[in-house]
Amino acid sequence: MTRSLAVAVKKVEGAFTLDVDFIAGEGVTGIIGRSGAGKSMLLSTIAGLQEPDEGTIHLGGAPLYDPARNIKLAPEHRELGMVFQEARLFPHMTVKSNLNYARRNTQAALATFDEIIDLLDIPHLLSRRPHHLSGGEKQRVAIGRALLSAPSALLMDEPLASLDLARRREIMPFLEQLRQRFALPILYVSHNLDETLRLADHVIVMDQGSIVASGPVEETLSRIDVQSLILGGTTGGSHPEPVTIMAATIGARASDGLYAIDTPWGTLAAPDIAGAPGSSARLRIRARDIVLSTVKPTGLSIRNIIAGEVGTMTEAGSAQVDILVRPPDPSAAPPLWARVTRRAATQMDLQPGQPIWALIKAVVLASDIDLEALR
Amino acid sequence: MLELTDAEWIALVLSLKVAVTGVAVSLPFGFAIAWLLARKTFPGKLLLDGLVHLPLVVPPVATGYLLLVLLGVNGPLGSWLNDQFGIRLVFTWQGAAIVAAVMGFPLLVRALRLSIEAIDVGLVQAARTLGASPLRVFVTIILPLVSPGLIAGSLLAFSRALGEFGATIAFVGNLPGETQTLPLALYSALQSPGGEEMGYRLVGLSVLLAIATLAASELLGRSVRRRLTGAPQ
Repeated sequence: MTRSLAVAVKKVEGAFTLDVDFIAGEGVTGIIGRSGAGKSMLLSTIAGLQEPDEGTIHLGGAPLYDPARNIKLAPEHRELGMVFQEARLFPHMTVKSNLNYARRNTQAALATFDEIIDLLDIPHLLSRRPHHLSGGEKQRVAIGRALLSAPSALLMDEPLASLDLARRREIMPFLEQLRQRFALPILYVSHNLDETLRLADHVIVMDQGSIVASGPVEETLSRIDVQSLILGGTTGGSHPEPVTIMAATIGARASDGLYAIDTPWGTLAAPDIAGAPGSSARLRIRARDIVLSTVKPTGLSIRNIIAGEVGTMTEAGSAQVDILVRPPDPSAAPPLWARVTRRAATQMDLQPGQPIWALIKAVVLASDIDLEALR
Repeated sequence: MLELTDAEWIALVLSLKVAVTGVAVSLPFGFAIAWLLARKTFPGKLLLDGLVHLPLVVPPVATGYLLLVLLGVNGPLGSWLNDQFGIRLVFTWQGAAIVAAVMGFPLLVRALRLSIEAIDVGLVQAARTLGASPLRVFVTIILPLVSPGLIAGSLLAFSRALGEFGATIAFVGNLPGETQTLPLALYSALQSPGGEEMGYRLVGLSVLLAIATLAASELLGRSVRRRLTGAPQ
């Protein structure tokens, strides 16, 4: 049977109320929201480190928390692996002892010890103490330790948030492998749009203790209200810059070094994309990185020129306008957001419904995703 | 010079026995109280904190007298112990060990409390999610991480017990071979004519013992810290 985590809990703490109800199946469910949205509180409630005021928690149909049936499993009996923001390695033990801390139930093991340490590339660290590891190494060991406890679901609470950009890039491929390798429900808490874009299959958006949106990643995170919630205040002040999110498949690399990227908008070209040919990725294109033209341009260095029509136009402050560019077939592709100056919009006499060409610089698509770019 | 007389040997061995027993008796209580003070909030916490520190600030003779009132043969606790178990603490080395335990208690609790407070609760949570019961967490995480405080606190309490004078003489008297620890033997020697030579030797002995304890504390502490972090020091 497929494993799923069903959570319906309510917990009041001072003026804050956590009140959520969702089911997470196999694969990565991203839980995204600003700090203070209750994401970490939710995870530690699921793990049994905090008790909700009411509600139930079920894993694979079996109750972990169901007070009506007098079931309140202690954290050690919940079979949930948890990875925290800080690695929380036991300082007085070697890496190997840390990894072996959980008493393994070999029947439920996800993989052998050797397979897991190979996957995380930590075999050379086994005899070391946590004190001597870099931040990225510590977090890899912490992930391995959680996996070796043979969990039925994995809870990850901002595992990259305390790492610098280089370390995040180091860990990201391991997390992606995790998703592909193990058929587990994985709850991945983050406040970072790009991490969620890269890892999650489904996403739950939280604000002030409640779920404000949930669903497939592209669809949910393309919503402008979701974007202004997650990105609000950090880009563009009171008018956060919209972001276009597109599923893409990485194609072949041409002899000049550019990759062909298949998107719902057609094939685009990009250099240095993170991911092997054939793998899928998500593109995130900031509105300011799209140039609009009323005529099909020639003689430009821009490689990616796509045809569409002008959709809604939204004021973004006094000097700028956000323009939604619709594809010829609205069901085939998500709309693109472009931000232009009001002067440009006036002089080009942009009107909803008119044909338009959207220009995207190839280098902008290089999705060696800059995790720092948005928050 | 270090040829000890029988009387000196007896006092030395008794001192060690009393101090070690006292520390051993106070350890479980000290740990429990330190845990309460470090990790729990409850009404009367400040009061408990104050009570624990009393032996540090009250004149030792007063503490000894209080113990005598409480644990003496006619005291409320003492008469009960005597009736139920036939235990008599007054004028016995066991009584001296109780004094040692009480006098060293604040030092032990302070060191343990600091050590417990320094343990990251996150480690405990991580261990629980890895399937460890509270007991296993205590044995595998808390005890090892608290061991520097345990060692420092125990040795401090041990040193305090070795030097104990006022409370001991008030509670259990000064009986050679039973309650006459080194400081009491030194006091008796200085009181008797011609006892200066024995006095000097007992002073030397006490100083040596103190230095040995300090050295042990430092060395043990260092090696434990090295073991805990794997860091070269």
